[in-house]
Amino acid sequence: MKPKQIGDFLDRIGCLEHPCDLDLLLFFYRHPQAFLKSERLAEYVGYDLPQVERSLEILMTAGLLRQSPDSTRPARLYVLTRGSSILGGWLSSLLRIAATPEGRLAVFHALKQRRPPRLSGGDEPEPVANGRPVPRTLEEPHA
Amino acid sequence: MPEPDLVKTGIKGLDEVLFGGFPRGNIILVAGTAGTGKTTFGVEFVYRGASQFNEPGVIVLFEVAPDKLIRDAALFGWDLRELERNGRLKMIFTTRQLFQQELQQADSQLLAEAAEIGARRIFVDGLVRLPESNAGDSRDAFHLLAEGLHRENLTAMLALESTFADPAAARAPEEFVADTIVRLSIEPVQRAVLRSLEIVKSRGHEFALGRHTFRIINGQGLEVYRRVQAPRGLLRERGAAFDPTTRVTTGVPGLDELVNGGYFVASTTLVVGISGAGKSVMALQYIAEGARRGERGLMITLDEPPAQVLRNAHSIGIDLQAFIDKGLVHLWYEPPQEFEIDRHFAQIEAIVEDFKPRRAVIDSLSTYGSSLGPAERSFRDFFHAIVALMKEHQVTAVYNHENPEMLGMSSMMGEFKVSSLVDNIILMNWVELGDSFRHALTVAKMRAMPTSRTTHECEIANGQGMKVLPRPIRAALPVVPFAGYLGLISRSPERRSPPMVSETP
Repeated sequence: MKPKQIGDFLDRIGCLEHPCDLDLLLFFYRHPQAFLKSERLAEYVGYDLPQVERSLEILMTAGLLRQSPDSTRPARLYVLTRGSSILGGWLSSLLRIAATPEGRLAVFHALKQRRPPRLSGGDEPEPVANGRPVPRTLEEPHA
Repeated sequence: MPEPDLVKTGIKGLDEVLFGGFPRGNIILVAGTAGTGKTTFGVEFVYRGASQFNEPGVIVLFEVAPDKLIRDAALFGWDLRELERNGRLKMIFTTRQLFQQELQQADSQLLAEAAEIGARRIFVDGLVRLPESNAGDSRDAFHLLAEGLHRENLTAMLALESTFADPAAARAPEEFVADTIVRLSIEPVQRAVLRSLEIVKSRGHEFALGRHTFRIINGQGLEVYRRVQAPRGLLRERGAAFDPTTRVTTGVPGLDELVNGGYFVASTTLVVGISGAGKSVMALQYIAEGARRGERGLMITLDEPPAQVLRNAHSIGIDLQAFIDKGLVHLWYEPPQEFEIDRHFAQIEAIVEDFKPRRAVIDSLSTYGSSLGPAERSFRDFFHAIVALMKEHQVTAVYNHENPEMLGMSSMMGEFKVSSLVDNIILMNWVELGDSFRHALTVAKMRAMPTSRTTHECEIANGQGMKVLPRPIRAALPVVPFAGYLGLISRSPERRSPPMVSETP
């Protein structure tokens, strides 16, 4: 897959900006209905909790994900809305590419090229894996 | 007595073991070590419910990602994604703790999801046992979980990981709470492995006790083979024919006269003899004779593959392939290595039920003995079961049995102590005369029919098969009463000299 094609997919999907957005989407692609606490989600995808919550918000706003409405419970049911007619097969195509380590790095690279990372309170959110910063290669893959 | 409301599993062979299915609403614990097939079992239970019985279902996963489950299920031909799209299945990924907590909520979101699609079945994959020191907590926690599921009237299957190979050591507190316990195991047999399943308990219905073999088959799923020893229906036990007039002809010229015109319908005949004595030739003639009369015949061969059987038949002038093509003969071969006897018997049962043969030949019984061990209970149980099966379906069956003794026989079946089950016994012997071995045949036993137990010479001619030669000399020999012999009981009779009679004038 050429970087330009990945860029086209990202343009069509529109909402993805941060690696965490993609990793969450990948998680929900594998687990289309997940009943979890956001803390647990953060452990699964390897980013800090504020970033995961921001990314969840973005995915839900874009209509890619919905969650159960009851906010009084610690856990929520997250459902990937893969059948969305707006997105068609673009999302599936992108997620298939990102399902391999090389593809994932290529999408990360394309995300970085595409626009500057979102800022939150003046600090660029740093992806973490298992509590540690993501290796530099994840941020700047040799695509 | 009210009929129990049973939930059919749809798993091939399992509903027979369960006498119809699991009682609706039961909490079913599926226990077993890693690799025993718990996940496949549970997924098939839900899949069959949703796809065949209009019972939508939910699968709850703690460790396996749903996309992997979908991929693995596809190998069995189960399209889980399609069921999801049609609103007949939900797969929910969560944690054990959350699942437990949810079931204790009056307004559980998980159960609301299940209710949304009208779920009737649920499979929870990957419950784990607490350490022994926490047995009380575990039982209590499981009880709460079971209550939550019961409240929703879901028939729930819960896969419980066991780390113990020894079932006795695997007694878990959960087992006392569950309504049904299915234990799956995988055990080494020689250098192979055998999967088995046991219904340890099941509240609210009868089921077949004991360990039943099963396989996991690509493109299909599980297939359970009811243990051979398990009693079948009463019909089978009452299946012995009561037809004293009809005779089933043997196809061997000259033999029918020795067996009163033929075997009784549904009788069991054993043909015993050393290799090369003509047993398989007789078997082919028996099957071919039936086919010529329009009677279906089943030939089960363990020693020779089909091509070889066809060739052998051709050499004695029988076009077996033509009979097969006409649907009159079913030739079934299974190599005897690594027999799974429950599965083997289930296959024979299915063939008999579908093909409906009038005649059957099993070639040979001794091969079963070699595979199962002649003195083993499993061999005798298998033989009992197959005799009962044939009688139930009114099949007149002939079993070949290889006796290793070349000249004469000191016992009919050697280590195989099942001759009491047999109605007729035909002994095939070599007789050494001059520089030749010649074929000899003796009808040693015919239940409910007279038999002379005389030995007859046989001949196997190329292109013609076997025939029993007439005994023209019989009339020339006087029948000497027992009183004319010495040493009868010691099996070495000698003619007694005529008594000296002194005549007194």
